[in-house]
Amino acid sequence: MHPHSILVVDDDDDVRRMLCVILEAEGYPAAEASDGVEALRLMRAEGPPALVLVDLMMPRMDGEELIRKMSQDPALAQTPVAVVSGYPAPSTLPVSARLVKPVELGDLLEVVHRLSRVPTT
Amino acid sequence: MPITRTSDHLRLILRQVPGAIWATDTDLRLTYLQGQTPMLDDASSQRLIGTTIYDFVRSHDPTEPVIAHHLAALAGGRQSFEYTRRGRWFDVLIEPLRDESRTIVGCVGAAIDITDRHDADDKLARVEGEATDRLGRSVSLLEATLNATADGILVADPHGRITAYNKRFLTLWRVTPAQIARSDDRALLSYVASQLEDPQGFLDRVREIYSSPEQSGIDELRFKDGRVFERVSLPQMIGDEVVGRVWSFRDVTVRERLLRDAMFLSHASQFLCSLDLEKALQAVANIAVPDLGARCAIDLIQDGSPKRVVVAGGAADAPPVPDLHPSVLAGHATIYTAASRSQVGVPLACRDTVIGALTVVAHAGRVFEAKDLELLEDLAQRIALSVDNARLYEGARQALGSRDEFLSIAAHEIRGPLTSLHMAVQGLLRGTLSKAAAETALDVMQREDRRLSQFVDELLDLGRIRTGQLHFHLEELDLGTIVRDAVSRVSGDLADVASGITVKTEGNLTGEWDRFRLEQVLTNLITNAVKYGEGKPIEISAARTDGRVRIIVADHGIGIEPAMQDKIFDPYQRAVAARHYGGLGLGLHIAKTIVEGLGGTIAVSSDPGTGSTFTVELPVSRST
Repeated sequence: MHPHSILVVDDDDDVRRMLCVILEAEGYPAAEASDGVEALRLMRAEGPPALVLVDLMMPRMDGEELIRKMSQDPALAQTPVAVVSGYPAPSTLPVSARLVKPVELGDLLEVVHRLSRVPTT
Repeated sequence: MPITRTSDHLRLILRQVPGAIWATDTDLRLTYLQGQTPMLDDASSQRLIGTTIYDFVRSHDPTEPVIAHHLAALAGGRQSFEYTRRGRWFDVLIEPLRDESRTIVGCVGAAIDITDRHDADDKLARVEGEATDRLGRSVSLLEATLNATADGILVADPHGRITAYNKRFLTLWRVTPAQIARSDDRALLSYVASQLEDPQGFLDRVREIYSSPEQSGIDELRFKDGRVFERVSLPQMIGDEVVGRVWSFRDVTVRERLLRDAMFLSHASQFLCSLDLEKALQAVANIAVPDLGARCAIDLIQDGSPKRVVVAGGAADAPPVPDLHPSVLAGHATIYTAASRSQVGVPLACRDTVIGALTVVAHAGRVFEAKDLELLEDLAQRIALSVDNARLYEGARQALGSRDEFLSIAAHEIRGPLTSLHMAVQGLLRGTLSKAAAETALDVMQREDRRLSQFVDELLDLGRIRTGQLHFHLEELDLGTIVRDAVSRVSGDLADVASGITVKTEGNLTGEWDRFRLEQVLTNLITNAVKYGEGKPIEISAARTDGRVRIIVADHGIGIEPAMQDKIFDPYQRAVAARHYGGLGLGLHIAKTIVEGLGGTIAVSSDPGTGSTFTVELPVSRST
């Protein structure tokens, strides 16, 4: 995966698609996965992205499990994670930012700028 | 002194005496008479001189008392007697009258009027008689009262010897009057003591009471046959003197039983307040043994058949509680014998429905009676109420839980489309989107708009169902067309669904239905099949059978656990964890309500892991 890309993990097709469209419009290469299983597979196959935006409620593997698995994987443990979920993420979850849907675009972009440390084009 | 003066003096004295004095010759002819009575004055006295005693009594019968006494005096005897004449009483003394040679020459008599004294004596005798009568009556009354009282009463002297008792005492202690009459106190005491649970304790107490004569006391006597007496012992006092002891005995068996029953029920009710049903029932069964019987079981009807939820009492000699008696299940409290033991079975009934049963096995040798049944019926009523309460509470708790879960799911489901809309609108406003991205954004907005509308429709439908305002507009429709339309609409919405949907229709599928609602049923079922179908093929068929059409929607996806199959048609229910699948979980509830509103049925058969088959049957018109 492109080291500057942002991986959007959400089971809601439209949310995922819209986040990618916005991020790409802001100059971030975006990748998408519809659940934790797919996200892990993608990151392990193509290398870690600059930032992972992850929803919590998803089928097969939910956001919390994905975050735990990433923290246990040396190759992914350093990758910053921001939760974008319908409920506030539990405070025990080791993540860099928490956003609650519906997300304000300004808040989202601020988090993305801060965590991806990738200059916009 | 001249004799005439002496005679005058004597006459004067005699006048002061209320009475008469007379003398006769041997023929009883009056030779002297001096009297001062209401019947005799000086004049009449003088007239009577010369007449005889025979004339006076108008008789010549020698046995006539006055004549007889005079004759006896003539014979030399002193006569003294009471005599009554014309309502007056006299004390009469007659003596022989002798001359100087001691020859009897007549009689001399004196009569004193004692009428007043006699009247006083009479009155005294009468008063005495009356007093005796009154006393006798009082004693009878006392005796009658003693015998009419509900208490058995025994009175003993300070040495313990019986001085009085009433009939009730005999009945209560099963003693005969003969036993009391012949028996010495010790024998009687040991006979009555032998009927008690603790004869020695009783005898010790009696001894203790007799050793302190002024002591009074009240205590309880328990009989081997289950009776309970209250005994009151009081000293019998006259003034300050203790003259004996009164024992009274009252049979308080019924009062004791009612008190014990009330305490038992109150104890049981305390346990039954708990909402932890099984624990409450176990606690009640535990206190029922050994108070009420050797074993106790409580069954509750679950899924149509009784299930034993609680058993108490494990004495080795007690037989196990047998299966429920059929008449108990039919709602009748019953005393019966099973495994050679008396048993009571009482239905637990609530709102005219038998929801279980309470069974108690008697202790060996004991036979249940109507009064036991009464207590157990009362207990059963309390248990049933408690079971009902616990179930209502659990139902309410689940309903609240489901509603809370539903609200959180609804919030989550709405947040998704809202987020997409938000992004799309803000992206468009920001002006950074390329033409293709802007088209995607508009596309997303349109879809999310539809998704939100559908949520709102479902919520409105739920409201209509709740208030009974789901109405139908019937028209003649072809089911085949509606099925195919629904399939293409779902496929269009879920364009990336890889599953192949096959549709098979058979026969004439026209009927009278509500187009919008029927489409809603099919859309819900097909969406469901796609959502849980794991991308595997979905088969839909519609066929006509005897005035009805049957629609089958089958998938080969994750399937539904058996325990959930009944619940999936309830509102807010979803067979799998909500977080993994979108939707409000109202689809099947709405589908079932519509199908039933159209006079049809909906059912599911499913095996976890192999898929689910939903079958809808609808009459072709409301009249069929």
